[in-house]
Amino acid sequence: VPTTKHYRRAFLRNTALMAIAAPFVRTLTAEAQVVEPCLVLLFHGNGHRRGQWASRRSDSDFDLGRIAAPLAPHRDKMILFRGLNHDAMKRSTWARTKHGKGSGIAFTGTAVTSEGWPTGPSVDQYIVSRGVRTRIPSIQLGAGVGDTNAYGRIVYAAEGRAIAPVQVPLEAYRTLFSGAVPSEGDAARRLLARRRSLLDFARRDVCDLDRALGVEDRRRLDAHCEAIREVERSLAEDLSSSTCEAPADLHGERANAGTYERVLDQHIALLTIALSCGMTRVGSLALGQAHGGLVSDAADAPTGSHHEASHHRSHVGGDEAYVRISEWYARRVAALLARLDAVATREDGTLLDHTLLVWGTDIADGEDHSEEDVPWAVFGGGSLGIRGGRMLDVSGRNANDLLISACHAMGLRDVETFGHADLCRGPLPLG
Amino acid sequence: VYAAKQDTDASRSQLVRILADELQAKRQERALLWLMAMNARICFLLVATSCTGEIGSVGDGAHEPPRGTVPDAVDCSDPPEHDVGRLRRLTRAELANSMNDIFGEDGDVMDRLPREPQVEFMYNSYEDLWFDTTFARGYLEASAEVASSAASRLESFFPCPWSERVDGCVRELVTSMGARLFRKPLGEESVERYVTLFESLDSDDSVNDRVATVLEAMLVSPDFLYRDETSRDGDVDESFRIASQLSYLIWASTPDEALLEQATLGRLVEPRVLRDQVERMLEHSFASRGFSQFIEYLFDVPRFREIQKNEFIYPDFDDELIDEMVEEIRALASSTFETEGGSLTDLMTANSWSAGPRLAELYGARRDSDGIVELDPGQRSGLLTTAGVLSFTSLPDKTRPVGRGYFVLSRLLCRELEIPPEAEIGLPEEGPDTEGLSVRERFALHIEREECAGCHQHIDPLGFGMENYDAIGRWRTHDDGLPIDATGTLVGTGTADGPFEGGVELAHRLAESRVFQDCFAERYVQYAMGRAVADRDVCGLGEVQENFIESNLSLRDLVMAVAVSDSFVKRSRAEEE
Repeated sequence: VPTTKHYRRAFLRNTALMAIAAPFVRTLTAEAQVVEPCLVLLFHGNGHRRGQWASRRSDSDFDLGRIAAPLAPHRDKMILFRGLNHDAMKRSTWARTKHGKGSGIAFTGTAVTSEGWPTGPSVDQYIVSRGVRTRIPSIQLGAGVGDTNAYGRIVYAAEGRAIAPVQVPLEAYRTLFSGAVPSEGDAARRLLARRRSLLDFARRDVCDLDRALGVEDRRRLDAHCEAIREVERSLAEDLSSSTCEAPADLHGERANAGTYERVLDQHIALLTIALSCGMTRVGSLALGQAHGGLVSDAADAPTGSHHEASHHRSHVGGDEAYVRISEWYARRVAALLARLDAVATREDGTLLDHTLLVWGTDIADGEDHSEEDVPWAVFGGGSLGIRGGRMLDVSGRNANDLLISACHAMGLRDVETFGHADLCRGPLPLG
Repeated sequence: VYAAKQDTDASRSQLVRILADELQAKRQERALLWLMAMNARICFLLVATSCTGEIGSVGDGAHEPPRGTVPDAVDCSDPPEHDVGRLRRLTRAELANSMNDIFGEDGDVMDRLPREPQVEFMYNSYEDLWFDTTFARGYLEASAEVASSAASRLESFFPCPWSERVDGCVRELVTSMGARLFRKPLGEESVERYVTLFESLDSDDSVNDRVATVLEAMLVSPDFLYRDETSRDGDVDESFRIASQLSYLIWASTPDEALLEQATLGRLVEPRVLRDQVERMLEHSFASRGFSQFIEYLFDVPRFREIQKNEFIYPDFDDELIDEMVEEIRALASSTFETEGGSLTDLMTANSWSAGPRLAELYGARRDSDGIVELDPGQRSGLLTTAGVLSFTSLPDKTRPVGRGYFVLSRLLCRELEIPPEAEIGLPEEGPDTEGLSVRERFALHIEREECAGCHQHIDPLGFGMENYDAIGRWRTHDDGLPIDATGTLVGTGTADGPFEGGVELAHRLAESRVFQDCFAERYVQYAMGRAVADRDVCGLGEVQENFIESNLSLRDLVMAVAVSDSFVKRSRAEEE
């Protein structure tokens, strides 16, 4: 049961901040600032009921099943797969359920340790590490995610460095807007100047001062230095000339069954703003977690736990509940696609066309926890050379190859392998 | 052996986390529950492969000897290397306490920071504490608030003729606050850097605003944020290192001026002075705060906020009640620690302590004007029978004997339980097979299954013995109309093994068990080191455990023994880069 106290305080502070910033934060327009490619990783736990996702006759001739049906309006901008595998799971010796492997493997393409932690960075963070020049290098959002183990972590800065998603929309807002100090007005100008001096000092303190340190400690302070630099960068670019506005009434707590849909929808709105305003071009959204239990009331699924329902064969009613939960997730994804598609850009194509979305999951189907034929999908990217409206047979290929494709879409065409090299054959034919 | 142990440590902590996560993930169920049939393949928690044979006898070669006894292979006359000194980022709680102790207020803003990961049972595992971007954003904002709050009351916060000689006052503030915040004196060069920062700020800005920026710069400095445990040359530098180690262990906070004074004289390297200082610190009121933090970690109190209960079955369960549960354990730990001779036995067998009005009602006990509840000694016995612990180890709608049993066996008895390959964690749901059965009988079903019985024959009987408390820790004699059978069997404790009935008898039997006493001391050593116990700790740990027994399980003696031990105090040199 989360406390509301400090969020309420935080909210008041935010409101105050927005009040002073108001003259400089203009209304949202429907035109995106950036036309650089964007990447969004989506993840939900527990897979999908096999047979209810989609079925394929040929690349362009396929039927959406009950689960994929909510995505129908975006059929031309999506690619589904048959036969995509997670072979990295096979070489993870960890003796626990495959859920705990699948979350770490999904976007890293690496085997996981005995605690479920992957041995390399996730693709989004790899792309970030190759250099992005945005206010915020990447934004990680999520809901229904636990904090205590690898089941709830899909994004990794490096081996052993999981990045926790922001789970409260109000906090996500703070992450995006916290550096948005207005640059006009005397008091505000002075405050901004002092904060710049402070961050400049703090950066030199941690990045430049020569301290006698061992290798491990050096690594720790390097990360510290990078964190300060990142905050400093977000302050350097004030938002006074931008056209971004946060949604009203942001939720100040983590999701529960009653608020899960609202929280996700607010995350989706914030993610859209972050991309359309050029605050970042890399994001992720965790819709629950591997082995997760939280079920939205709005899913109308007759179960108390997503994971338990995913064992559909052995639970009376699990089958229907499992499908309904997946449908509800598909509706959330569809909502994100619709939002992105509604944002025009300065060039041809909508924000969706300039964004590659990868929707992954930990396992294929909850009943057998298979790592084969995982129901992944990609969306958007029309302006990045991706041709939708297809269901590709990629039998025998691993999700690693999809991660390579993501690097290519983001402009990193020199990437030949991702994760374990021997699991890779090269980018998938998404064009 | 060490690698093997790391593996089992890893899986043990993993299972604790999974258990807890499962509790979190289980959301409140609807009134209309679809009946779910039992999953025949589900094996509740653990399968047999790792748990064959008698618990307590692990001499099959695949396991290491039980912890707490010094294995023959380690020669304690030639002690192994000490830890290499490292940077340890302060935890949220350590930051909050340090700020409260230095600034007199405002530490609670640290609540906003992301919570540390739980590793083993702890939140102070330094390997896992980073200053990453999420932390940075929260911390920069929070520390700015602390700094500007202090600067807004500058005259009282740092008395100095501010209006007459600003420059002099700034220099004094930097020197004096720097020594307090960084837990050692600042070099001349450092003082200059902060003074220069002040001077570089717009002179039209108020002095308060500029001082706030300087204080903030100190708060975001690595010199404040990290405890540098690197071994140094010279008694003075070593003494400053030791001062921080002592204060964050004993007080969970920054050294006071008296301790820093001893460090300035370079005297903390002298065993007698070290002991005197530890004794002095143990007399201070902060000492119970520090010890309570250890108890809170050990009993999962930082996670009580995650407890969810079914609103139909437990309509009164809310945040306020959780607050009382947290406060209850804190108060029980603190008051026991503050009492002369307060012992582990007292923690486990007390039946009168401070608790809030809601808890008093839940316990059906009278609460006097000092907030002390007198509990029925037939129903309650110390920490293990507090409502918070019993709630946390239960499901949202019913008890979970397996969870309670597992907690006792793994957390309190330091038993290593291996997780079998591909085990599915599941819960016995109500269904056609289980109609008319009590919780105990439903859970007992899986002991009949061969693949599960190996471990569960040891775990479950422990948990069954606590069935006379419901899922929020209320005393009960019936469940769903069926009388409670609270007979259980204690295993893995050596002499204390055997049948028992009820949580009170279990708590008493544990308190008398040497295995439990040794485990408790081992947990404290883990907490002190901020990491799992390693081979190099074996000799020191054995001494600490012996000492603990000889002191009649005195809590303060335990802290003393660890605080002055070589493995806690001394550090080896890091390899050169």
